[in-house]
Amino acid sequence: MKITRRRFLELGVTATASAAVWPLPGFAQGAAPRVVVVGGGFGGASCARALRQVDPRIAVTLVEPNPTFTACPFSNGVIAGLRELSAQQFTYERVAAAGITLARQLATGVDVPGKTVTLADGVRLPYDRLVLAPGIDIRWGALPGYDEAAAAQMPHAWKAGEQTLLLRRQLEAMDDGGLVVISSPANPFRCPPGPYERASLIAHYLKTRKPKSKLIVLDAKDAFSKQRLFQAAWAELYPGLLEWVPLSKGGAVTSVDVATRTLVTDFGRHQAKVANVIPPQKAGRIAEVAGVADRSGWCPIDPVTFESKLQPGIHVIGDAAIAGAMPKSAFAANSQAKTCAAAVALLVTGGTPSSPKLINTCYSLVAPDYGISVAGVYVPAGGQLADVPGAGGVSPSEAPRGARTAEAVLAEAWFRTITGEVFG
Amino acid sequence: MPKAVAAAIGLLSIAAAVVASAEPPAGAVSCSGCHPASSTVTSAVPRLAGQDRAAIVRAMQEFRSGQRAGTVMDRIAKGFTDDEIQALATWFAAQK
Repeated sequence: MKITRRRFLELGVTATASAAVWPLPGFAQGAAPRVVVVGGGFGGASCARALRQVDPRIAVTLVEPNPTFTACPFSNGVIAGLRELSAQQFTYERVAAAGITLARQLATGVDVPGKTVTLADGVRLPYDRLVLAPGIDIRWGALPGYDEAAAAQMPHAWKAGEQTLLLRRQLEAMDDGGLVVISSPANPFRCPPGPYERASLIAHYLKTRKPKSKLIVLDAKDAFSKQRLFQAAWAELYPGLLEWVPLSKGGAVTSVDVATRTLVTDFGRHQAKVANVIPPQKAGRIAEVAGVADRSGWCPIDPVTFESKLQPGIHVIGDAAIAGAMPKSAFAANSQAKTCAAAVALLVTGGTPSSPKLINTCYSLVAPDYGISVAGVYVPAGGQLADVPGAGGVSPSEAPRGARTAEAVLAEAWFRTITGEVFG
Repeated sequence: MPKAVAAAIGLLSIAAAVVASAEPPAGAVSCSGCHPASSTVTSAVPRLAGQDRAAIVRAMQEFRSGQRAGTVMDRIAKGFTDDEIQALATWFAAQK
């Protein structure tokens, strides 16, 4: 369902009007605390909705230029032809119906002392607290030869949407016997097990549709998330088809040549029929503009409130944040969003948030009916979010196939639940 | 006199319950990543709102000890103390 600009404005006006007549115990009429949330992904949309649920007196504005959200989790299934992109897409209609004002614009500036966000059309939104959930941006040029034009030939598909479909079309167009190459970046990056789930599902596609083909994963690391589980499953399901080349065996890609679809390492050149370059990343651009990103490109935060360590009054959640032991996942972003919302709701009314406990659960599919997971529980410790010792970890290495099937079913259930909670 | 004390204790526990309902206990907001909070979301994973308090405590303790087999809950329950489990169970049991 498409939402027109006019409809968006109407929804915005409705939400504002209802906020104005809302009884505001504890606040003078018209002095409701204002929270602006930038970014309508799992972090931002979750936070906006949680703020309204925690305290309906708070006037919440969600800034997001796209009328449709395209979810990354499960988008590897789209690449492998297991599901359609439409299953990944959600509108903001229910978000608006929850009483959140939608500003369908790109946020282009933040005036920290003046506490306003500037939108692309010049409108300034005043805030008492600002939450930035900008996700990631590609660090164009960090990998020599890989710029925006290169991504049209060698897709990254690390932001779901047109790039996802491009990679799928290239795989579908490839003749049987072709070489597919994935390059995986150094830490940190969005979705640590993502490159390996993608490799698994592409291998599944090749095994079932183009069995003479080969897949090589060139990795800038020697270790990765759920590694033993992935490698055991690869040996069982895709022997001879999927090869992982770690850093120590020359896996780090040092440049790419778009014209010949070649990935260059210190040890050699790999000319691919289909090349998927997962490039180095950083926090979404507004983080840099607002001054909340440090030299690493990511955003240091207080682990209790998610307030920036660099700029007061601005909170950063999701992939953009440096969240210690918490990975950059949709589940983590959602968990952080709700924790941050509770903290912000207290802070705008003069309260003091208590120390939170956060959870992450992250499923990966190694085949359509073969799931594995990693879970973690986190608490603030030493200014960071740290693992609770003894908790969390990955699926057991020895498990009956039924347990893997159950995890594949739970992965799907998780996706339906989280998207239903956030966008439904 | 005992009546007044009982009434006062009653009021105190109501006040405590109100305070408890204002801020979710540690970890509570993360559960809805998998366990639907909204009644409109259907899932094989059970909703926690309105579940029996003792049943939640028992499930968490059994997941934690390994007595009950879990897929991820065995790993997650190990991150919670007895006091935190009690607080979570009280919180969810009180939800509609």
